[in-house]
Amino acid sequence: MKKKADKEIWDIEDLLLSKSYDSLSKEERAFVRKEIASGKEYEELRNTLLSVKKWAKEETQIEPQDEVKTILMKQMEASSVKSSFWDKLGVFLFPTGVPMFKKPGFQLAVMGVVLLFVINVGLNQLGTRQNELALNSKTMAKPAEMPQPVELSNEKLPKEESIQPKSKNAVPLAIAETEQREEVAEDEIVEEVFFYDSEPEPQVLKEEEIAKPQFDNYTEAVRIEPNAMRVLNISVASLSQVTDTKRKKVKKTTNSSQNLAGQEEVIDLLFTAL
Amino acid sequence: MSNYQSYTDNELMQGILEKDSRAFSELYDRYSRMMVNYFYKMLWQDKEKAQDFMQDLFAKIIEKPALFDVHRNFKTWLFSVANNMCKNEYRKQSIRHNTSYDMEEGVQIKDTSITAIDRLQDSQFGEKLKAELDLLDEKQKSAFVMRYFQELSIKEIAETLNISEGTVKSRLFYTLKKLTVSLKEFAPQLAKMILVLFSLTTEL
Repeated sequence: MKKKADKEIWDIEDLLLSKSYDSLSKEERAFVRKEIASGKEYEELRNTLLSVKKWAKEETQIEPQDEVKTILMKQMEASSVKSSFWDKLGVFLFPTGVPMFKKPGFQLAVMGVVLLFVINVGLNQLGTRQNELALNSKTMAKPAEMPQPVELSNEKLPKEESIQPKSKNAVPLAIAETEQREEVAEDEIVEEVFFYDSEPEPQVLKEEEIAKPQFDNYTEAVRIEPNAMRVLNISVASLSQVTDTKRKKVKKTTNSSQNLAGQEEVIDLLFTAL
Repeated sequence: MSNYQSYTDNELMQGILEKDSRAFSELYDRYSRMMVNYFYKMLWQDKEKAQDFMQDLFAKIIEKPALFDVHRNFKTWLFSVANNMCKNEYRKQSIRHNTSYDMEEGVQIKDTSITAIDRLQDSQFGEKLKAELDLLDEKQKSAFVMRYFQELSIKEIAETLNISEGTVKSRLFYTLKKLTVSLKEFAPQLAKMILVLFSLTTEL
């Protein structure tokens, strides 16, 4: 309905430009009377329209100033100089008159985003699996109650007491400090360890003698090597027996570090004896 | 690109996109006169302002040619840009813009004893028409100026203003009615003048 009304209005303008009211046909008059009240109004509208058109044609047109063109041409030339690779790239990536989704720049950007997303998600998934595996392996490999491996190192000893191995027969051992020894265990261990097959009765050392180093360096220890090695072999063999005995007799021997202290104590005593 | 006159507007715009200054020169020659007159009609018959606005319009084409949609009609696009510039100017002037400004270059018709032909000869009718156009609503004015001064088709106006053709026709018709009422004092003389013109043309 609206389109029809618009068409009629346009037809009226056509009629206004071409025909006076008197020259209109009956149909045309009926048609015109829908929008225009009377023949007089029709003529007024017609006169105005014709006058406007005539005046518009006859009216002097103003001309654009020459200076304006000069300025604009300079501006144009300056802009063409500025045109660089990046401008051309911009025009190539985002050409005008092309729907947004068809612009290469937009397509590349979308591809980039999709790739990033895919890579990110993929890596995350892989990473999750790896993490899970790692967690499981940790749980398996590191039980909470596993004792720490014993590591004897020379760092724990004072420099004077450290023994550096120089011969094949020498056994590298580190003697730790015996500050935290338990007195009860100490006496009994000493009694049990120091006995020899073909040697005189074991000597029981006094506390002062135990604390005092019996030789100053390794070379001194090497001189007494034959006997020492025998004693050491015996002592290493009996080390497990000693620790078992100690466990039984000492109430607080659940900690593995205490066991180690016991072992170190024995070794210390052996060296002292040698 | 030797003969630029044979190129279409869109082809020239493509040339401008590639910084071809000769393409711009050709496009300027085609539309500068039309646009300066459009601005002149739309902006209160201010010649300086019209020149400035025309320069700004073409400067925009130089600076941002990519704004042009190659699938659109260049002429309607250019008019739509120009029309937007006029709208902005109306907004700026809305505070200062008043009837006295409008009538500054128009002429108050007081003496009705002068004939219409005399008035036309003195461009009085034109001046009055200009003044009345300035009093029109911006939407009605732009459609009217495009149609009767720039001779754009209904379709082109519709594209320029981004409205339906029916709306354009409707605006034109009601603007004509409004102007007829405003210019009523010229009606008898106009009628007489038109009759004389018709008779002259028939005699010839």
